[in-house]
Amino acid sequence: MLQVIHVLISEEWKMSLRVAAIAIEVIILTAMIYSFFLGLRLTLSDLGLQPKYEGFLKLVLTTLGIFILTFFIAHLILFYPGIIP
Amino acid sequence: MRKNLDPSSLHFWTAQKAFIDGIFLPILIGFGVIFLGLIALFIFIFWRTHYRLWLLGKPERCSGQVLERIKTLLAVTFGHARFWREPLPGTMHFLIFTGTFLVFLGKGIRLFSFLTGLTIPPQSIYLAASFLSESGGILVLLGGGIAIVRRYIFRPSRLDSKPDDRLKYILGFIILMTGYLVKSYRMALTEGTLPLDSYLWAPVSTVLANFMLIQSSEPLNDLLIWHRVLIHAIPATILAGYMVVSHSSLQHLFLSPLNIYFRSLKQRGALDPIPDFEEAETYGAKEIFELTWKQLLDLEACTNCGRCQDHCPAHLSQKPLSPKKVIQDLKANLHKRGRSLLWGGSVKKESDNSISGEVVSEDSLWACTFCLNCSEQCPVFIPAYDKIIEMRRYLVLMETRYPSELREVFRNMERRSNPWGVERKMRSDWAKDWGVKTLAEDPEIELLYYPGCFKGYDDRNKKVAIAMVKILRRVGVKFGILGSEEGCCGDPARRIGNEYLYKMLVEANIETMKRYRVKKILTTCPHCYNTLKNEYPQFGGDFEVLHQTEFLNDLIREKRLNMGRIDPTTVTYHDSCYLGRYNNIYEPPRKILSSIPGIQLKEMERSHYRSFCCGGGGGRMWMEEHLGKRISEMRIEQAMKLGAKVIATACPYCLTMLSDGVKDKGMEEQVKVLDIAELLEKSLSYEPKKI
Repeated sequence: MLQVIHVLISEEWKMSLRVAAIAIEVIILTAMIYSFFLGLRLTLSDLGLQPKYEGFLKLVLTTLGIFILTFFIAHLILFYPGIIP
Repeated sequence: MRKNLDPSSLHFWTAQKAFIDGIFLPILIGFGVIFLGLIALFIFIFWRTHYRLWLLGKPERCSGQVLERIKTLLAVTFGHARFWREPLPGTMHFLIFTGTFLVFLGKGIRLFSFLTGLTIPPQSIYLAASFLSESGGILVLLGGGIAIVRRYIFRPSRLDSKPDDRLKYILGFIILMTGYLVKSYRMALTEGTLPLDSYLWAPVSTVLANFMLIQSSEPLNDLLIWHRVLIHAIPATILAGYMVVSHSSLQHLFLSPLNIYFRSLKQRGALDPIPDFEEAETYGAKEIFELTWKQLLDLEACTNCGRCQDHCPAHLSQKPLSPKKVIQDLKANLHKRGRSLLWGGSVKKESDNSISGEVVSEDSLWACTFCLNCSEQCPVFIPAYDKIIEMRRYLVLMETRYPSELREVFRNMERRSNPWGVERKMRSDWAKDWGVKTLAEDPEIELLYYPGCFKGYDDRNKKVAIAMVKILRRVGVKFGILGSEEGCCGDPARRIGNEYLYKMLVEANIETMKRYRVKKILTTCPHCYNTLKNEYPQFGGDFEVLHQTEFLNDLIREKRLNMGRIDPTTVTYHDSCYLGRYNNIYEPPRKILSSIPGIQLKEMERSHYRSFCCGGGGGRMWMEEHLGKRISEMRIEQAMKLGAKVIATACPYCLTMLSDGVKDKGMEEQVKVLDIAELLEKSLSYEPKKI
């Protein structure tokens, strides 16, 4: 039974799913950066940050998030060229 | 035990150990240090922003009965008692909780196995632990999936999503998925095939391992593993750090168990008296810190699940009260006020922002019927009524702010000891025609019949008192009444918040009862029953108190009544809140009704502990119902869905509210509202029609 399952997962199928694997990698990275900055923003407002600064903070963190995400995607491309077929 | 590994498996496990030693261990140690720091930070923040905050509340004794407390804690935490009342959210929480528990259990065992050398060759316990972690992760993903669908796609009105919820789901998902990815990549990197049985101990990772990208060189692969382990460890650290530092709802992981452990074990619904009433300078709660420490813990333990709101009759009838909102608004106020504690500052106990009427609006406070459905439904035992009564007490006793119609009610209760202001001597007029003696006339009795204000003054309810007297006569019980010496039990005054008036009424009644050496009291009113039984002892009035449904059920069980019958009809029983949820009396009234031949008993959807209020409790009987729908009419609609011809009650408040509702809806021909005593007496005096 277990051997049958191994055989069923063919090489072609594996290759086609690698594109999905790359997408997952980028999604995880995006989600991590987003959640880190969201957690930071919520914690700051929890600790007493005045609501009038929330808009500014959101803008700063979003910009920073986009910059970091771009950096990490570039990093992925440079250091792991094998990921992109 | 797995001692004889084939050479390929041995190669696989040796390679796994190399990854663990070379990559996982350094990262584990590094993040272990960070987690130790987080634990220290948690202790510091718990002490500063939780413990010290609770200490600002008034004292309340919540210890003792340790075994009982632990039993409930385990039943709720592991057994999910109360959660299962709603199958979908119950299943969701069970999957997430059990899954997380299994993930941690599995990881703990594997760490232990690694440290004790049980990894190579892998012992059964190591493989079983791997399976536990993997299957736990699947359970969490399933539960999380249900949670996301419920919260973001088919959202019930009681759920309001906050950014905090989004964060929990995203981080939880990342941590689980990266956990699987790390393991599958590690497995895929081993040269040769995976062990054939890997589907058994790592079902998810084995499948994923087949799709993993393998780099061309070993250093690149090692680097990629470093990378993947880090993207597993970093979100876990972010989540733990966020939970520790912020006031996230994730804190229910430790606050809810604490709240369950310290839950009140006092008689449910029995309100606490105001301590040192004669000496106290203030009454009730104007400031958040005038609540007790346990009430402040209640606020922090609320997870915003909204079960309370879904069962609140005031909320469901579009009144401006949501128990969830009351708790959440008070919680926000508590955190706002307590913020400076984190930085070592102190908290001013006074503020310009009163909780009574400002943080929680007066309309909300006066809409509460004290039906206790909110605390009955709360999975972590948070009552809203105990905070509401403190705020009502403040408004009534300190500010003299209450609905204007109550002014007359208070005056009547004070002067004539009944809410209507009818002459006190007329209280027992109904009894004279039936030859019922007062204790002044004949003090030698087995039982004091305490009919209460409704039976004394309300024409509809007098019929119930008469039915009860007929039954008592049938069984030959020697009973008496207090007549004009009987006073209002005080329940409405107490629940409106007028503790001063309540105390006055209670002390007068206790004095009268003690003078006649009363031992045993029978009441037909659940409000009188509740206060006489559970609250009079606070003032030295210890009596044996029976409600008519307990008494009549005993008579039927002992076969002291020759049951007749009534013409066949469909009856539904409406649970009185003060009988059911307050005193756990659900079955005696149903047993009485079931024992009457001719009655077909049908249950409404909201029955037993989920029963819907009639709208008359908490002093609402004497307040106008300006806002929203009439609660009593909603209850009648629920009964009419069953096609019931009779709504049976065992409470004069419910009888009055529901009868009025039937009249207002013009349904007097379709449905009748009768007391259980009336139905029983009707069956006892049944005479077959002569042909």
